Amino acid sequence: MSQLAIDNLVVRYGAVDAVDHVSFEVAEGSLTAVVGPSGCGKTSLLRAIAGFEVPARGTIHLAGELVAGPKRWVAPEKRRVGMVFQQGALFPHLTVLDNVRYGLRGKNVKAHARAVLELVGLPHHGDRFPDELSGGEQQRIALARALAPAPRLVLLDEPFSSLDANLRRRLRDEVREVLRQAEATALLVTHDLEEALSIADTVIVMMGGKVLQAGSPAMIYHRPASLDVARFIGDGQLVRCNVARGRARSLLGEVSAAGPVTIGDGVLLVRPEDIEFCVNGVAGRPGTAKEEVFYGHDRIQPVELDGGGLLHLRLLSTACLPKAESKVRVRLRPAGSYRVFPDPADFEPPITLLQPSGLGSSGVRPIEPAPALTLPLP
Amino acid sequence: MRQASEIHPDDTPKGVGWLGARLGMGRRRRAPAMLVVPALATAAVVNLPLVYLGIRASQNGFDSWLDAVSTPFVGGLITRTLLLVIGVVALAILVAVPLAWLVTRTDLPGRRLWAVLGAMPLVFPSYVSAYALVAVLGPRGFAQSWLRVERLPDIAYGYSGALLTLALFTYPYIYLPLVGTLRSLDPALEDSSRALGVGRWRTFFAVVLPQLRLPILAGALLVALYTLSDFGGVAIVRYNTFTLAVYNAYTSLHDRTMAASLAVVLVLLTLVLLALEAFLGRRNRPTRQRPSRPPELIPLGRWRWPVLAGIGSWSVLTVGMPLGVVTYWGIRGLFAGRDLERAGNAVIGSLTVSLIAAVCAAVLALPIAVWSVRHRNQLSRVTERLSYAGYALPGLVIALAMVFFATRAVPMFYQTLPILVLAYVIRFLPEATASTRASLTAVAPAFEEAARSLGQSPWRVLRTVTLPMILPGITAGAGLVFLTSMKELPATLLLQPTGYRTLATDIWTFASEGFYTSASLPALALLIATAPPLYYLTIRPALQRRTSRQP
Repeated sequence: MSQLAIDNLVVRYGAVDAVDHVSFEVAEGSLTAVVGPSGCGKTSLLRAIAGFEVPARGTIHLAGELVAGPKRWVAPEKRRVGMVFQQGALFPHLTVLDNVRYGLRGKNVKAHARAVLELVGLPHHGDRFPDELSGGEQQRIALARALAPAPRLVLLDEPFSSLDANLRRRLRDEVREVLRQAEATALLVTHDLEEALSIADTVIVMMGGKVLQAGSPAMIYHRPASLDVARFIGDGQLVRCNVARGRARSLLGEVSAAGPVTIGDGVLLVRPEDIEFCVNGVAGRPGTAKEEVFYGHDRIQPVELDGGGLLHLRLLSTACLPKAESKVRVRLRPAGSYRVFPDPADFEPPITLLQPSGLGSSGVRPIEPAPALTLPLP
Repeated sequence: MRQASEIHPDDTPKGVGWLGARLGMGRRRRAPAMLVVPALATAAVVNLPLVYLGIRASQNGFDSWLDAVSTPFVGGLITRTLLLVIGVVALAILVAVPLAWLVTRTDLPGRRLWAVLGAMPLVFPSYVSAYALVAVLGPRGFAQSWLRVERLPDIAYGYSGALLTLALFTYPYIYLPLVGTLRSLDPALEDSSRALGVGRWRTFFAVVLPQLRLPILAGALLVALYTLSDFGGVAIVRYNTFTLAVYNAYTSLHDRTMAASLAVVLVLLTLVLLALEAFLGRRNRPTRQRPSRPPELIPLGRWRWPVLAGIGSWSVLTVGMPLGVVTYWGIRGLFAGRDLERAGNAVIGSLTVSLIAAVCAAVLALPIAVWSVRHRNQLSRVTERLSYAGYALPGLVIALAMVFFATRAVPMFYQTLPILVLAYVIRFLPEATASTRASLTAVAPAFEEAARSLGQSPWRVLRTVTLPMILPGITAGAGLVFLTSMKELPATLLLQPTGYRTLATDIWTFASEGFYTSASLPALALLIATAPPLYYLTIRPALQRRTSRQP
């Protein structure tokens, strides 16, 4: 049975539908991430589930119980939903232990709170005050506080965004582990695509108040449902092609096509890792290697095709590099299948680089030309 | 994944009607009645006496009011009052701007000390400074005996006395915000001007001064409002302005209708200034940037010692003189064993009534503050504004309105402590509201939401999370109400129970009769009780504030 069921939910601010007829379910014990650019409605969705916004329409079921609907609205304190906020929101006037047991009542409260502190790996921090903790510790205590009353659902609102990149990655794994051990169902909201893809069982991509796609991280990355999702992920390029009998033919070779366009003209979604160099051969498309951009674990190699068009290839840092301005040949990896979308309005033949539309810090950024220097007139 | 196609009829939850939706109740949580009802009641009570004042003034109709106030006497009052306002504002600006610049932008030795001393006159009530002025420069004053002259030119009384008293002791209202602005201005602006080949002095006039225009104007309006509403100071130096005329009409002439009619004119004058202030407040947008580094200090060079001498004598005049007078006469009075018991009674009287008022104000301010910060809508905004009425209008007007209200509506309470407490609450409630508001704004709603998510009712969340977190703000607000109530004069004068002694009325009564020794003991007690906390609650934070401070 699903732990959370959202059906046709609308959250409205004045004339704007921040959440626009959204439906999805979250399975018990799973971690679902809602990802989207700022202002896509993901936080409104979270607040509606927690009970801080009253939906204009639609229903929310928690573990089978209707908590928001046309005739019903359950107060936040009666929903048994835990929440972890961006900056933790630990009560500064209470010790860590008192924070964790704030939502608990009855006997053995202290022992239980200590057990939860142990779960998040901070068993000896009970007597400290929140301002004596580091940012990462604060977030772990915030998680402990939310988990302590055994909520039906834990909501995490950009819980890692105030931390620096290294800590963020480490804490992410820890939080995932703690949630798994606590057998909690969780819904995480983030604008960071890499975070969503790496932590969640299911990823929901939201834009303009609507759900664009929901599925496993691999599916979101490799098989985006639409060009909008592909654009949000932002990695790669679109290449013009023609589809017939399940094969897509383009200037980079012939590959197997995997919809949604099944016949006629379209654009292929090509990730930087989908392209390979053809060594010593006459196969592939000729072009000129440009200066690489180094990212550490991998790098992006731009190749300008003879006859126009710029491609981005992803190479491991350890791979051999062609010299800048040397002649190379490139082609699509023949194995695997590729998504083909209808020709978008802003497509510039023969190849369009996808600019990420989100603010996400996904590992690879396409190369952006330096903005032209403009001087204001006196 | 389920894609449901069924669409529910649009239904505003929980039966929030048209009015509720208008008031912003449909979205988020509705404001609980626990907040709304006390807030509305408080705002209503604050304005009730003003309604009575209006009734009293318009008793005989608009025409007779117009007749009463369109006389040469009232014309003279208006002229005299406006002349004083203009003079005080001009003098205050002339003092405040150079002083603020000197303590922030030059290498003046002891800048920090002078910066604090420059703001210190704020701790003296106007009747204490007027008393000091009269005691030094008046007939039988210090100056006369030191200089061994028969008679000094009469500058302690009348226009010059009122001008000096008020300008010397109100200029910090311009000075303090100026210091804040000067410290938070980005030095990069001046650097770029200098880099463009503009000299230091021209940069000051072309780049810095234009940015000070709005703070100066805003401060000047405050000084004008203060001058218009001051009663204690002008009464002691016997300069007949509106407040004094209203008081005289009420006490000496026993003409309550005349007093009410004059008070209404005073209210109208105040409203003009308040409208100007609201207009300015909309345009005054503080820069939200943190200065990259402290500004470059201008070396005073050979001007250093003359400037130091000037600023030193200024502090002697504004801080040393009142302190010296009060201490000198106070010690003499102590040795003479004069009126110690009477002063003791006054201390107890002042403390008691001010303490009760402070607690009441803090409690009443809480619902208004929570409602207006956490449930911002039109009704909560209007309610908050209404609760400011007693603060914005001259104290004497509020006092008179309270007299009318008490004698008409609740005669059994007239000249009892509850009415005096009510008057203080009406006058100073906004000090508590503003302080509570500020600390509440600094507490992100996430704290309360986290507590709600953990299963606590709104009432318990308020008690266990919100209140402990904003307690410093509430306490500071209550403290401010306590201190201003201690200094309050006009309402105390008109409303205190017969035989009840307070410091403010004792000082005023003795000082206006010329009994300097008798006035000094309560004045000393008042300064000891109020000056240090006032410094910590108002002057220090104002001097330390940067416009860009984030909660």
